[in-house]
Order: sequence, then structure tokens, then C-alpha cells
Amino acid sequence: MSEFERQHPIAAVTRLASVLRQNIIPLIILLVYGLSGTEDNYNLIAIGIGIVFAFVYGILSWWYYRFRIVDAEIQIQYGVFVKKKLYLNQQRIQVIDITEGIIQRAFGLVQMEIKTAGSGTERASISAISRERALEIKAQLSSKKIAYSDGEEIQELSNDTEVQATWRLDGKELVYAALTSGSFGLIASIIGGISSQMNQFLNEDNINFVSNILPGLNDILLIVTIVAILILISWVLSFIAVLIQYMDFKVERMDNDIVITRGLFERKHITLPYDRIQAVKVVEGFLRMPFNRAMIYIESAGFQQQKSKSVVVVPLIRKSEIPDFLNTFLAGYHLEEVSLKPPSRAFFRYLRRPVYLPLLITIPLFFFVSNSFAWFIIAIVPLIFLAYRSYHESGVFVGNSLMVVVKRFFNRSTIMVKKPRIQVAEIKKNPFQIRKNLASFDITVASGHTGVTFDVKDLDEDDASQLLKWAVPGFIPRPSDPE
Amino acid sequence: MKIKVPESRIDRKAIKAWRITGIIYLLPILISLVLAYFLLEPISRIPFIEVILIGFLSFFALSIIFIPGLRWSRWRYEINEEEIDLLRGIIIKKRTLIPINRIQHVDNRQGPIYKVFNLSSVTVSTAATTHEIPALNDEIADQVRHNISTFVNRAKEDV
Repeated sequence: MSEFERQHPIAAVTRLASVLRQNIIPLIILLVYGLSGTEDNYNLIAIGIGIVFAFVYGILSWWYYRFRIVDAEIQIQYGVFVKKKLYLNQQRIQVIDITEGIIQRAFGLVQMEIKTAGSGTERASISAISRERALEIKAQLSSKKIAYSDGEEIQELSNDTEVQATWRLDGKELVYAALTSGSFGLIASIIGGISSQMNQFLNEDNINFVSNILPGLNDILLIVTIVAILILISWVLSFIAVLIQYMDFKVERMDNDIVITRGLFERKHITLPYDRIQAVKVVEGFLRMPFNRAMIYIESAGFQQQKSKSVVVVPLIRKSEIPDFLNTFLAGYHLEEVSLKPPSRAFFRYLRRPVYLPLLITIPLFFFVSNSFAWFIIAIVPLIFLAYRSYHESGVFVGNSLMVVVKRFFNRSTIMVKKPRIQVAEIKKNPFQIRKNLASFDITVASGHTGVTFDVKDLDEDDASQLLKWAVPGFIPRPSDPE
Repeated sequence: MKIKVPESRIDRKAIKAWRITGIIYLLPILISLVLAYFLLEPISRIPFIEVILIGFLSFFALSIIFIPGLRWSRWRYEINEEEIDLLRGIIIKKRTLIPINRIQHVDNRQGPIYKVFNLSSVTVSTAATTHEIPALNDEIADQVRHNISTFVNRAKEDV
């Protein structure tokens, strides 16, 4: 019987870091408020006390965290206030992930996560351990590993992890990916939120000062400039964020898993068993469409702790290379032309749909603001154009065992689902659709702990019923069906 | 080709049970609204407050008098060896198919009001979603749960 061992003491620091990271937004707000305060710096003191507590807590949780390996079981005892014991048997272990964080890297350590399958997903996380010991534990826990596939059947997994194919993101593509990531909108809103606290910089003197250096700058122009600068800053930030996140991106195909390795400071190794993949999604972002580039995601079940989160398999790829990639790494998934499209009587429903919400919001404005109707019309034109594209591109393809759903608004998503992965299929009809014999169709697949739903709006009612029947195992395709 | 519409209906007592549930939930809100109108002066001076109150009143009346009956009459379900088929919805009609071999577990549930009427609901969970067949007679609910679990076991054995 082996003795209990502790993690490397650095675990206390990583614990502190993770507490800080989880509370980053309140911290920033407190900091900004604290710095804007004139004399009393209570906020800064509060932050200081908070950090000290977090550090003490980090040390305590390192002290109380002990683990050992008995036979093929990892036993963990942890908890500062509430003592917990977690025993994970190798038969239940689904994935062992090893991550090199920044802090761990500096000391030649790694972080290890041991995940089990199933709905009550339990996860054991050893946050600092030497690389050799981690590999040793991994070997001990995965020798003659038995995995539970989706049903109750048990299948033997071969232990050899031979890389059968590798895909890398080259540097130029990484730069493209970072430039077109489109996540700057999100960052801009965060910066906007923070900068609204920065009233002291936007006082009259400063504005006068600026308008003195730049004559001809009126109020509207000033606002436009500020917005433009905000967008630019956040674009640069998102550029850097994507570079760091996807640096040295590598996808490998093993016997039973697909392994993704990425990141500059924090190297992540994500191991996804093939029998956990629920759906594959190809997304052509709005900014990437002109360059014929797309991104590929995987929806997987019982893997993530988060509610539902897709895993990025390919941050950026030429559209022409997608079929090859799918063939090599995701056998059985392929892109198809949609064969079932919304009928022409659904055309105006598609055009109208995106207009309703803006209309509802702006109707009150029509009475109070002059010219608002004209502005509304101008704002609505691009939406109508997107709706028009959506009508033309949305649709479904049905093969023998593969369903492909194409959706379009800003982005074009192509979702590929294998029939046995469909958890629920549904059609919905509202009174207006009933009048025109239309119905919306959707399918739900498992993702993380819950599900994710993909839908196509306003299909012909009979087509929708057919799709519904297709999703059920007993259905036999008609002779006219493709394949 | 139309596919067959499911045939089984839920228990008629559902209407009464839902009405009572509605009254229990809505009456306190209603009473406090009316009291507020008569007792709190600032509130009675809000413009159009009568219209808003009458709006609320008619919403309550609707949701207690008409909705339960409509909801009952629109509910259909069917369980067979391949799928669970649900059809429902007062305004938006929803048709849901759950393949039998995707089902992870089945529950019967009974709240205090259902208990008075000997009603239970059957809840079906997949890896992704949860679906409820409301207000079945206790015996039927047991039967339905039993059938589903039998079908699930049979389907799993086939695979």
C-alpha cells in the first residue's frame, strides 16, 4: 500500500492564481474605483486583505490535499473546511489531461486532470506535480484501460497511443485567424464598461484640450473617433489573445482519441475520445467568408465541466481543405450540399423575421425622435440582406446516417450529426406557419452536461415530418432519397 | 406523406388540477395588486392604472378559465417500441420525437395538488434534455413508466 503524497508546494500559488482569475472582473472594478477614490483607499485595502486570505487558503488547501494510488485506483483526500474523499477507479476514468500552465512551467511541473464519464461527472485535478510523476500515474491508471462506450457495452481499448495523422496550424494562418477572430466586439464591450468608470479623463478641460489640438472636431465626430479607437484597441487585444491561445496548434489522430495541443504560455492537451463526439460544426465567420476560411468545432458529451461548450479542433482552415481534414480526422463526417430547403412561400417569412425585434424596440421612438423612421429603414437594409442570404443558404441534407444542417445569419454554420447521436427531434408550427403549411424542424444533441439544439425554420410541413421520421431508428428512406 | 398523429390523451382531471394550481399561484398576486390599488395612494395615481389592472385581471381569468382546458385538449402522446411521440401547444404546436434508445431514465412525479386528483406526471430524460408528460392517472403513469423502461431495455439489448 502506497503512502499518501502531497502536490508540489507550488500548488498553493496556482490555487491563488486561479482564485484571482475567477474574480478578475470584480477585482478590476474594485481597482478602478479604488484608484479613482481621492484620499481613503479602502478598496485597495480590501483587495489586499482578500489576496492575503486567498493565499492562506491556497496554502491550506495544498496542505490538506493528499493523494495516493492503490492498485488501479486514485484516492484523493482534500478540503479545508469540509473534508472530502474522492476515489476514482481506472474503469471509470475517461480522460487524463495534462496541462502545462505558466506557473507550473517555470518549475518544470504540470497540471493533471482525471475525468470520468457520465452525467455526474467527477473530476480530480492535481494542480502541480512533476512531469515524470504525472506520466507514471497516467501509466498506472491507464494500463489495460477499459472504456465504457455510449451504451452499456464494454470494449477493450488498446493501450498503444500511436499518432496516425497530424495537422498543424501554420504561422501565416494563425495570424489570419487572429485578425479575423471577430471577438473584438466582446472585448470592446468590456473596455466600454471599464471606460465608463473613467469619468475623470473625460472632463470638460480634456475635451476642450483635444478639440483645441484638433480643430474641426465636433461632438459626433468625437464620439465616432472614441468608438473607433475603442474598437481598434480591442481588436489588437483580441489579436494577441487569439495568438496566445492558438499558438503552435496541433491536432493528432490516435487509435481512439483525437488529441488537440495548443497555447503559448499555457500548453493545453485536450484528449477527446472518438466515441464521445456528438456533432461536428464548421463555422465560416462573417469576416472570414471573403477569405474562404472556416473554423471547425466538436460538440462532445460528458467531457467538459462547463454546461455546454464546443471544442475548437481547427482555428482556421481553407474551405478547400476541409473535406480532406474531415476524412483524416473525423471519419464519417462530410460536408454535403443541402437537399431540403425552405420552399418559396417561406421567402417573406425569412425576410421579415430579423425585422420584428428592432421594429418593436424602435416603434416608441417613431413618435418622439424626428427622422427615426428613416434611420430605422437604413439600419434594416443590411439585416434584410442577411435574411435573404439566410433564406438561400439554410437547409438540411439527409443521408443514410448523417444529417447536415446549414444555418446562416452573420456566420454560416454547417452542422454534421450522425443519426445515433440525435437525442431528440422536434417540429414546431405557429398559427402563421400552419396557414402556409410550414414547420420549423430542430434536433438536439448532447453537449457537455446538457444539450445543444440546431434548427431550420420554415420548411415544408411534409418535409419536416419526413425529417422527424428520419431521426427515429425505424424509418426507411423513400426510393427518391439520396444515397 | 403525413405521419400518424399520436393518440393517447392525458387525464381530464388535469383541467381541474391546473385550475387549482393556477389559483394558488395567482390569487395572492391578484389580491396584493387590488389591495395596493385601493390602499396605496401613489399607485392609484399612475396613469392608465385601471387599464393595467383590468389587463392583469383578464390575464388571470384567461389563464385559469380557458388555458387549462385548451392545454388539455391539445396534449397527445404515444409510446411505442421505437419512440416517444409528444404533440402539444396551444398557439405554437410542438411535435417531439424521442428515440427510445436515447432515453437515460424515466421518473414519475406527483405534487400535492396532483395527489388530490390521483394524478402523476412522467418525466423522460435523455443525455441532453428532459421531457414531461403531465397529469396522467396514477395507474396509467405507472404503466407508461414501466412500458418505457421495458422498451428501453429491449432496445438496448438489440444493440
